[in-house]
Amino acid sequence: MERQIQDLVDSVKECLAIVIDESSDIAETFQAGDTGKGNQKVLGYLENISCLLSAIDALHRGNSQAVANVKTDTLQNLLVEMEQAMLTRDYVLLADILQYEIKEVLGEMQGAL
Amino acid sequence: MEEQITLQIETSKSGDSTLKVYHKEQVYYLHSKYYPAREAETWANSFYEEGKLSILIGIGLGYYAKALVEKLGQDDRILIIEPYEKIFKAAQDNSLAELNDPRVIFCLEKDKEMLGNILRSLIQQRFLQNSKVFVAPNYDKITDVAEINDQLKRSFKDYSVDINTKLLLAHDWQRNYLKNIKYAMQSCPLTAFEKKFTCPVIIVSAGPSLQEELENLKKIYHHAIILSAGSATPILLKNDVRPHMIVSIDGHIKMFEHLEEMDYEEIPLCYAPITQHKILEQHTGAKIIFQASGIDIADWYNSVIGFETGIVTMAPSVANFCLDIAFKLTSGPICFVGQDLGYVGGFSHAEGNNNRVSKENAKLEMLLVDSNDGNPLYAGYDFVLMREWFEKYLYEDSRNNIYNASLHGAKIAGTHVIEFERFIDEYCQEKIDIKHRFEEIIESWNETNRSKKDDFDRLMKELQDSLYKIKKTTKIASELSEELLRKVKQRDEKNINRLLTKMSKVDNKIMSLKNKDGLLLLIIQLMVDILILWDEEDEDEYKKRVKIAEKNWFFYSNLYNMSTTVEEILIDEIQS
Repeated sequence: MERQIQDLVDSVKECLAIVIDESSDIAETFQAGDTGKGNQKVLGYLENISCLLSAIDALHRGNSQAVANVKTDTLQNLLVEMEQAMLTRDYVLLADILQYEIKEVLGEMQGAL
Repeated sequence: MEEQITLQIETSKSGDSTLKVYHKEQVYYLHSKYYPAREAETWANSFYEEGKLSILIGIGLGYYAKALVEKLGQDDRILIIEPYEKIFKAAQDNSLAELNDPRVIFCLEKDKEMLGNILRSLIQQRFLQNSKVFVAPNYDKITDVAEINDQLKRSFKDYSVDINTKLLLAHDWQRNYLKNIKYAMQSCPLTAFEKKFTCPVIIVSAGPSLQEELENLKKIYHHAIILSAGSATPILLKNDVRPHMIVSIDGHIKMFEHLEEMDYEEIPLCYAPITQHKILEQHTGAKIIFQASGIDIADWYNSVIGFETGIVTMAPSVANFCLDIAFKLTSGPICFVGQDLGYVGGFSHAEGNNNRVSKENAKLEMLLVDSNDGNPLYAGYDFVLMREWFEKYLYEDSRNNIYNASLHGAKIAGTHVIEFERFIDEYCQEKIDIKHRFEEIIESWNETNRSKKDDFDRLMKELQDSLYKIKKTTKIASELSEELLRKVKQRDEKNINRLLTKMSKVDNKIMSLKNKDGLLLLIIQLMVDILILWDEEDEDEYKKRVKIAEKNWFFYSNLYNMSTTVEEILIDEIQS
C-alpha cells in the first residue's frame, strides 16, 4: 500500500512538472496569436490538470502526509476563471492566467509536496 | 462606435500601463496585466515577416506596434488603423511619441479620406502588393474587424485594381515615350554635361520658403547653376528668376498646364522620356535627356534614338532627381532652396504653386519631424519619403559640400544648414557665363551627333514593321484566351486542354518577341504591373481557374488593344 501511495505521489510530482511547462507553452501559443493550436493544447492540459487533482484528492482521502500541505482551492478557482476567459475568447486574459497565475499556484503546490 | 467602450488604464505587474476595455457588458484587457511589453514581443515574433507592409488593426497602448517596429527593416512600413479615438488618445498619452518613426503610419478608421490617401500612397510605392493584416489581440471582440478588412479590400480595389485608370495611365505612358522619340533624337544627353562644372549648383524646389529667396536667386545668375525642379518653375518665371535648367519628369497633363503660358524657350529643358509630350512639343528650345534608373526599356529606347542618354537615379520626386543631376554636373557645392519637406508656415508649397495646400486641408497623415530651426514641423508621408531618399543618397554618395538653405524646413541628414545669403557670400563670388557654357556643350553635341530626318523616318518604319508582328500574334492570343475563358466557365475539359496547347505556342512566340523587341516590353511592362495587383483570394478550384482564365484574357486582349494604340501613335508620328 505504502508503495502504491509513493507511486502516486511520484506521479503527482511528474504531472506537476509537466503542467507547469505546459502553462507557459500554451500561454505563449495564445500570445503568438495561434488560438486554434492554443485551444487544442488546452484540452490536453485540462485533462492533465484533472488527473492531477484526482490524484491529489485520492491522496488527501488516504490521509497521505505527502500532500498534507497541498491546497487545491486556488487552482480550482483559477480554472473557473480560465473557463470564463475561454467562453469569452479572451486569450489575453487566458494567457495571463496560465502564465502568471496558474503556473505560480502549481509551483507552490510543487513546493508543498 | 465611440460610446460603445469605456476605458480603464491600470498599472501592470511590470510597472507598465495596461488597458482594460468595457464593451457591451464584457471586460477585455488589450494587453497582459502582468508583462504587456513581453507579451507584445512574443506576439510580434510570431507574426512579423520581413519585406512586407504590416497593417495592424488596433493600437492599444502601442506595445504591439512598438514590438513590430523593433523588427522592421529600413524599407518596411507599418500602417496602424485604430477604430477608437479614445484608445488612440490613451496610446498617445502612454507611449505613442516613441513611435514617431517615418516607417510607422497611423490612421483612425473613421477618417476614411485619410486612410484612402495613405493606401493610395502605399500602392504607388508598391507596398500593398506585399502586405499582411494583423489584428491586435482582443480587438476582434470590441470592433467589427471584418468591416475594416472589407474597407481595406475596397480601398485596394479602388486604388490598385482600378484597371481602367491604370490602363489609361499605361496608354499615357506609352504615348509620352513614343511621341517623345522625335524630341529625344534631337536632344543632348545629360552625359554631355557630366563633370563639366566646378561651380555651385542651386536646386530650387517649390516649398513655402522659396518666396523668401527669390531676390537672392536673381543675384546669382552669373555665379551658380540654378536647377529648377518641376513645379518650382512657374514661380521662378513669374518672379523674373531665370533658371539655367528646368528639370521635368512629370507625365501628367497638369504639369503641362502649369507651364503652358510661360515663356522659357531659352532655358534648356532636362527631361526623362516619360515627361508629358506636350511640354516637349511646346518647349522649342534646347533639350537635355536622361533615363531614370530601373526602367526596363531604357536600353532599347537609347538604341532607338541612337545614343546613351545617361541614367539618373530613380526617385519619388523631381527634386530628388535634381540632386543626382546636380552631382553629375558639378563637383562644387550644392545648395537646396525651397526644399522644406514639411508644412512650413502651415502650407505645403510656396504661394503661386498650384499644389499649395494648408496642413488642415491636406487630408494626409501628418508626422512630426525634426526641423532645421528646432521647431516641430509637420510633414506628410510624401515629404518624409523624399527626405528619406535624400538621406539615403547622401549617405551612400557622401560629399561634404551639400547645403540646405531651407532654414525652417525639415532636417536632411547629410546636408549643412546655411543661410542662403551666407552661401552666396561664401561660394557664389566667381563669375561664370553658365548660359554660354550650356550652349557650347549642347552645340558641340549637336555638331557631331545630330540625327537626320531620314533616320527618324527609317526608325518609325522599323517600329511599324515590328509592331505588325506583335499585333498579329497578340490578336491570335486574345481570341484564344477569350475562347479559353468560355470553355473554363463551361468546364469543357477536352477543349480546355486543346486551347492550352495552342496558347502555350502563342505564349512562346510572344516571349521570343519580347526578348528582342523593346517595343513589346513597353507595351507589356504596365500590364504586368496591373496583373500583379489583381486581387487573388482563396477560392474554390473552379473559381481559381476562371480567375486565371480571366487574367489571361485580360492580358492578351489589352495587349492587342495597346498594340493597336501604339500603331496609331506611330502612324500619327510618321504623318506629322
